[in-house]
Amino acid sequence: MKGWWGRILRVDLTNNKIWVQEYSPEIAQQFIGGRGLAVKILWDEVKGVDPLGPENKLVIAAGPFNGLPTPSGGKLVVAAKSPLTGGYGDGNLGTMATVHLRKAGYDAIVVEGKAKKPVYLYVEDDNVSILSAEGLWGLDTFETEKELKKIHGKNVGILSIGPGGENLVRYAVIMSQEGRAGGRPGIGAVMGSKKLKAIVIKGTKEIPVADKEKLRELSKQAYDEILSKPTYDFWHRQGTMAAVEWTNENSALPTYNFADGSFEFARSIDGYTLEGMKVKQRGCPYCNMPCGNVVLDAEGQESELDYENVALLGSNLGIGQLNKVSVLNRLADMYGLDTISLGGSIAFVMEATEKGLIKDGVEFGDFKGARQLVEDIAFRRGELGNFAAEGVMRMAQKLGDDSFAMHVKGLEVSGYNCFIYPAMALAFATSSIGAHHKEAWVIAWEIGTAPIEGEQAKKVEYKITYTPEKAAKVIELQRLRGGLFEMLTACRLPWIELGLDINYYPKLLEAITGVKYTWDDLYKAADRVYALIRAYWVREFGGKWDRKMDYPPKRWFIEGLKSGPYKGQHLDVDKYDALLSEYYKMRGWDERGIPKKETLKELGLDFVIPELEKVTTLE
Amino acid sequence: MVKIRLMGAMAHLAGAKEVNIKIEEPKTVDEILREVIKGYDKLHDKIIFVNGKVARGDTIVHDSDEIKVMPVLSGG
Repeated sequence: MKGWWGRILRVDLTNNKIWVQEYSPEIAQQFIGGRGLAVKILWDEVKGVDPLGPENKLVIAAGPFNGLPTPSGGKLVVAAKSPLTGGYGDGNLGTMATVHLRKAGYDAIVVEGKAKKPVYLYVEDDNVSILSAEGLWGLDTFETEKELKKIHGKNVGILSIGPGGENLVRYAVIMSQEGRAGGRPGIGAVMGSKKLKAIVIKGTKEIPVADKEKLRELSKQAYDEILSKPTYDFWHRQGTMAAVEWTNENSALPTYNFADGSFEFARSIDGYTLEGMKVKQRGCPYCNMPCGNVVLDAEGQESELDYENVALLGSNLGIGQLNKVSVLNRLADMYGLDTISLGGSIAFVMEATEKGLIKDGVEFGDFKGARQLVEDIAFRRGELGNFAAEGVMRMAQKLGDDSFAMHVKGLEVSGYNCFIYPAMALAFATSSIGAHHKEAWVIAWEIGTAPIEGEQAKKVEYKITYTPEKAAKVIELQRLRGGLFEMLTACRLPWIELGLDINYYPKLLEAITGVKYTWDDLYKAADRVYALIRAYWVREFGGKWDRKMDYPPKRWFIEGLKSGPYKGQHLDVDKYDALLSEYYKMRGWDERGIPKKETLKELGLDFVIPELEKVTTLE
Repeated sequence: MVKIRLMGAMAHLAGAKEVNIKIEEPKTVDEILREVIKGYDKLHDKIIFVNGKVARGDTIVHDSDEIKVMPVLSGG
């Protein structure tokens, strides 16, 4: 095989065992890598277990693009059964660990079991050891990396968890390089449950490539094209932070726990304010359009911002000063907490406080209170900290009120408020991991293709519609963003933000692996991964699986926007339900959202059928 | 006068967040924005409104109309 090593490093922390597993070229070609490989492993090996128990497995999976000069190809997938949702969980982060993992001669690492005392894994090519992390346990992720670099030198890739993961906060992430985070649905807590503080990797091998010359030529062209794009300079100025102005203008900025879509202090937390505060820029390996904008926060510390962090920890909490938002963001990175779910959870506490459901809570706009709560969550201190560390779904269950619980399947909603955007709501609701935007960011298309003719009143720029084309567009984007990019594993931003020609990706994949993939092949691989992830959810939930799990949060149906040109407007539940049926039909899934037997067979997933038939009947 | 409101990268390329231009006769959105936004034809995607309604590049604009143009950007 070229492009893939066909080797997975396996580690059993209970029994202190380390071995290498080889996998077949057929699996490599069908599942490609990253998310594809991760879900195959979890489907085969992680069934019906407690996500925080030793039987869960932590999968660190790279793809064929990693460790090679591919445009923004420095990503790494981290996956496990999620302690936040109970279903399939994953995320990706840009890190030197992906480069070193591949150069060490592996496509993935799978960690199972649980160490008796804190440990970290050190991988140097074929030499792998489990070392004591007793001196590191309790340190934040910034300090952890510093200490590990003192021991192993600077030329290593490091993944670590902070107190959030150690204390099993249900939305703890895995961190790298002071600002790169991955694994929103609590993959950091899975790592913590295994008493695994960090993974340090040093790789020195040459990755086998089918056509080195072609790879070099294509990559050079792609990198040059990125630099030549007219929007490149502005991207360099603001990166993803330009989205604050955009979502605010389109009534989509999460504000006061998603009660509204525009924020009175948006200007104070937007990309232009960022420009005045920026001190440096950071990026992922092999990326020539870095988006990590570093500012000095209100406490004089460096904090790396992007849109999601600022939307969820700023407007969504009613905090309108970017230097203060930056403090919350930096603490989340240090403690290894997902900024989106953290923002969602604190906002839920704030609204519950406002409604009188929580005594001595935190009010909207209270920076000091929010700062204290971040600490209390990370260390699970006190009643409120422990409560909020469980995430929005569990807090709402405990309070017996889900009318303002902003999550899907237990994962908190990321930075787009969807009172008037049914396609984006469908994208959140059918995302593989819960309410995450990355798989089908359809909102711009939804606005830009709204009907030209119609009954729109003057000054109202957009009309809510539920056409079948919206379901088709969500699937198209899921195939590319949630499928192709998550399998390669590469960042989608050169394509989506700057308009890099998407045809580079199959060409690069062929140069690396020697396997020619048509677009039909890639779509089929993506559909295979989506069907397998869906099957995973259905198997883990058994009889409890319900079509309503593919519904967006109730708030988008029962309340309207509080202000702006679309004031009072919200989604219609019956029309949404019909749109969901269209989505299922196009995917070849039944009315419950379960893949039909025929669909599974067409995708080469016959092995799923007998397993699923143990928990439900298939059409 | 045609009032043009620009957001994000569009404002960067035009060098202003708002531009007013006089047109002698009706023109398409593309014709007008080409004069205002550097490299307009190379932009991969944009969202356009004319007088508060979703529009396309070939929408005809008259002298008292208002255009709003924004990029497609995803926030990460």
